[in-house]
Amino acid sequence: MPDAAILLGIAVVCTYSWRWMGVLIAGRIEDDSPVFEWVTCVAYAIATGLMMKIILLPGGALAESHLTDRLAGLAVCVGVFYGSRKNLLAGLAAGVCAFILFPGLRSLLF
Amino acid sequence: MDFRRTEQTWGAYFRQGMKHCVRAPGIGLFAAMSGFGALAKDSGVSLLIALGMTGGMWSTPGQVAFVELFAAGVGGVALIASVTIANVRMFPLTIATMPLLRKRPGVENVHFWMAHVNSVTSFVQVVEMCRHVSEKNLRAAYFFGFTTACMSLGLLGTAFGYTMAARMPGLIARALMLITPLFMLLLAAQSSRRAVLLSVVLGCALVPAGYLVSTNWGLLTGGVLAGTLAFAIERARKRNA
Repeated sequence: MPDAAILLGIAVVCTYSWRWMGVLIAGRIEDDSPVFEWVTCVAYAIATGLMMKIILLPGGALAESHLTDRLAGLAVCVGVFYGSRKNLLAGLAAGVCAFILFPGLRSLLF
Repeated sequence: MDFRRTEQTWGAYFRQGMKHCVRAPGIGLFAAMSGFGALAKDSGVSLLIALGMTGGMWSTPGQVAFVELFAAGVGGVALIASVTIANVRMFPLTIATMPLLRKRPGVENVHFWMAHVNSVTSFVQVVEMCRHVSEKNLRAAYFFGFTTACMSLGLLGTAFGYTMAARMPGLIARALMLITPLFMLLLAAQSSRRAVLLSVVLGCALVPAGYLVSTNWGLLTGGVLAGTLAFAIERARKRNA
């Protein structure tokens, strides 16, 4: 698919331009200025918002799963994460297991 | 992190960096990239394009935005703009990383390669390593060892997720696709900064909402709006405190 390849090429160049500018500017600018605080906020909002969009409104194969199953996975994931003093791998593993097991549980209960 | 028994050579620090990657950071990265591989397969791009994204962009938010928007048939300009803004984190990240690794102020050619292989994961690791290692040459050796292992695991994970997604039963394949969203949400939740956590909460509400309004521009406008709101609220709170 040449279309995707061209888009990929442009996306790679655009992404690298951030790093390239960072190399040139590093040392001449404080990394705790309000501008960077704002950039960081926007970056986190977009990244996590996109991930939440995939959980709430997935396209493709993930859309074949039940919304309640995905939310159960998210809830268990976040619960175990905070319950285990912010252990990322424990939360992740628990969330994925919950997502796999919840459809069976749901059919037993309802 | 203990370096007392590490030989004071470039090679020894490179290997130490690789070893430290093949633990929690590397396992998490491999899992997140398998998830990305599964999402990429589902979006219809080829394995080569998926690997090109991991190796060429090396930034999960942009990679995921690419496959999500590509699968939704979003046009070129909106896709490139969204991916570029989703990867804006690489700018402050590079600025924060370079002073820790370079020998003297100024730009050397090797810095451009360092900037490419750097990531949030390696930045966190480098900050911790710098508390124990002061020699800049050894810091760079450790950084390259760590990032080489990260990149290898990332590419392996992408290929693994991509190929497994088609061969596994539907439920398991879908679970694979859920890994990256959960991983990225937890990664952000690990932050102790209020402004970041507020951005996460607002982003999780406004980006899906924006996507419902406009498939093309919802991600970008929702994210910029959420981040700006979080920034403004935190500024106002600090000023009043």
